[in-house]
Amino acid sequence: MSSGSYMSRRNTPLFIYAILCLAFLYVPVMFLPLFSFNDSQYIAFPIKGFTLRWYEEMWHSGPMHQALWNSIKVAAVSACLSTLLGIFAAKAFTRFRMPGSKPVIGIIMLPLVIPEIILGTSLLILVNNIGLGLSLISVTMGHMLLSVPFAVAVLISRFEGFDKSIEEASADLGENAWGTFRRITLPLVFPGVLSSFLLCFVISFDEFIIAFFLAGSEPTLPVFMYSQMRFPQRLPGVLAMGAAILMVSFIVISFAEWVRRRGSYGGQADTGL
Amino acid sequence: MTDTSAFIRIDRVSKDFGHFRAVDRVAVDIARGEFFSLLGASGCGKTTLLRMLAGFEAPSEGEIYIDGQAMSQVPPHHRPTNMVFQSYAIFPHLDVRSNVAYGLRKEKLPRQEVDQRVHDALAMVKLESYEGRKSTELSGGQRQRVALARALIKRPKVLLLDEPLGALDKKLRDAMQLELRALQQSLGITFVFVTHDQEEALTMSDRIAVMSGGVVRQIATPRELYERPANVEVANFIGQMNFFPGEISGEDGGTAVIQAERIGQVRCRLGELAGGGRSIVVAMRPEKLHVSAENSGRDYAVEGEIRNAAYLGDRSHYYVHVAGSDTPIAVSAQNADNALSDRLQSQAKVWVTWSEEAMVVLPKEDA
Repeated sequence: MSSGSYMSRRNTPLFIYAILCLAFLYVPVMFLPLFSFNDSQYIAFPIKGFTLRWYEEMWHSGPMHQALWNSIKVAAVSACLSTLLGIFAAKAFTRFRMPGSKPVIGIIMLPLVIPEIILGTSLLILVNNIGLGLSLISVTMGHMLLSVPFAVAVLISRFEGFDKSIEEASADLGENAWGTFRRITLPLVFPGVLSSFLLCFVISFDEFIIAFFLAGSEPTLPVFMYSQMRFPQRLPGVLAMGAAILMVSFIVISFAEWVRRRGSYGGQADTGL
Repeated sequence: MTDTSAFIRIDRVSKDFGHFRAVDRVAVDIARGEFFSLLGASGCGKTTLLRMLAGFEAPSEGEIYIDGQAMSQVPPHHRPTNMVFQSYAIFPHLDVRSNVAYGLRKEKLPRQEVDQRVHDALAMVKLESYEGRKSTELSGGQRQRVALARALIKRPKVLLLDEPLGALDKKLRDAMQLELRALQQSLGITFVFVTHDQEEALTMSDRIAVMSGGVVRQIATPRELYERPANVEVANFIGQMNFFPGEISGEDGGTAVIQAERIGQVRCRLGELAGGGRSIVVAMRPEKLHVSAENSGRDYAVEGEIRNAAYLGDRSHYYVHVAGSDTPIAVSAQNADNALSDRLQSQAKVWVTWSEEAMVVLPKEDA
């Protein structure tokens, strides 16, 4: 009999099943980096040879840099504001007795299930009618709509994670509401704040439909990449960009998750005085 | 405020949560330097009352005065009170020193004085060498001491304690009871102590308010509470008690002649109950009753049979059934005399005897 417990015994069929699932999920994505190193304009097998040409091309493309910079601006601003709103909402939901707080949480979470194409169309009508027009500001606001539910969800679980009497103890020891928030609440929810920010950033950075509807003459990176699809000779450059974004997203999300899980109270050294 | 004798005056304070009345017109005066306990089962309103003293809940009605000052407009961070929380509420991201020094930041003291006061506060709770320790590395008893030091460093006029010993094991709890009491006496700070543990309240307090259903049932010293409970509820909550419902059949000169179940006709002083209803309850503590093989010549005696006996080490409990009743009379006896206790274990016919002082007459409560 093999060593180990009942739960850790080897099960070959299940193992194969797991491998197949993972392959189904990730093999398509792997084509992107694979062809980004392929020394051919055509996205087809067989692979010709290894090259960094497409990465170099990407590096020197002015419009692409502009699109990247647009995306970063939109993502940073919408992630900041979403996280800020998330902090307010999470604090309110977890710390105050409010009538009807459950339905209100439901309404905040609603954009998660509204199809983005509907949101995009509605926002397009809205921004044109209120005179905001197509701009990065409109995109930023649209992205906030998408990322606020995630921010609220992440932060509520963080706020719920610590004893309410810790904040009361701070008030009891003479700190006013702001002092308590700064010295107690914020340090304790900080992992949640950071992971909310990074999550919102990635949501905005990757988002296409709303940006496509609202960006006007200032494309974000996904919109720019889509526009490049019309030119076959530029496609490998887009693949290189895509591969780079994939890598950065993966690193950022892993980091956010790590921060959220680590979540303990170590780390920040506050001397208190 | 008109009366200056009370240091803390809780003036007909009520607290409603929606339709639920958690605290109902509680009026309590607490003297400066007193160790005052709020005692009751969970949900009786004692913690809500304490939280109103700290300022975490606002009274729905009534007013709280501390040292002559009305508190309803004073937020928690400006009150002259500090609290030791049931969960201790140690700041998990700060070390012991920062936890204890937390409340001093607003006082803008020079560094040396902060250091001195932190040192003194930790010395007071016997944790001198723990300054640099992370708060996550502390045991339950140490966390409790840090919470105490953190509150006391503010030199509050009133220290509020919300079941601070509840989470400790029995040995540590007993030691902390004595320590807390000694600390309170040496500092002269007014302590308001919430507990559900009657033994704890009796050991430590100058006075105790027994609460149930949001209402204060009795305020008295531990001895009074035990010896002269004001009603059946208090008598039942504090220690064990035998109840004998009865009727007053006559009165002569302040002493009533009472016809009570199982114990027959007895004569008792009525005290405050004089002139009240005729239905009363005679109450007797198990340890004020005596059980013996012969009628030993005390004021009163009744014959019965021991059906159950529980051996508790230092003493035994006997449950004596009187002919014609299913409710046993509980008698507690010291196990000093082994010969006697051996004989009483059997199903012997015995006499339960008591003197007149053993009896307390209580009003009959509406069921």
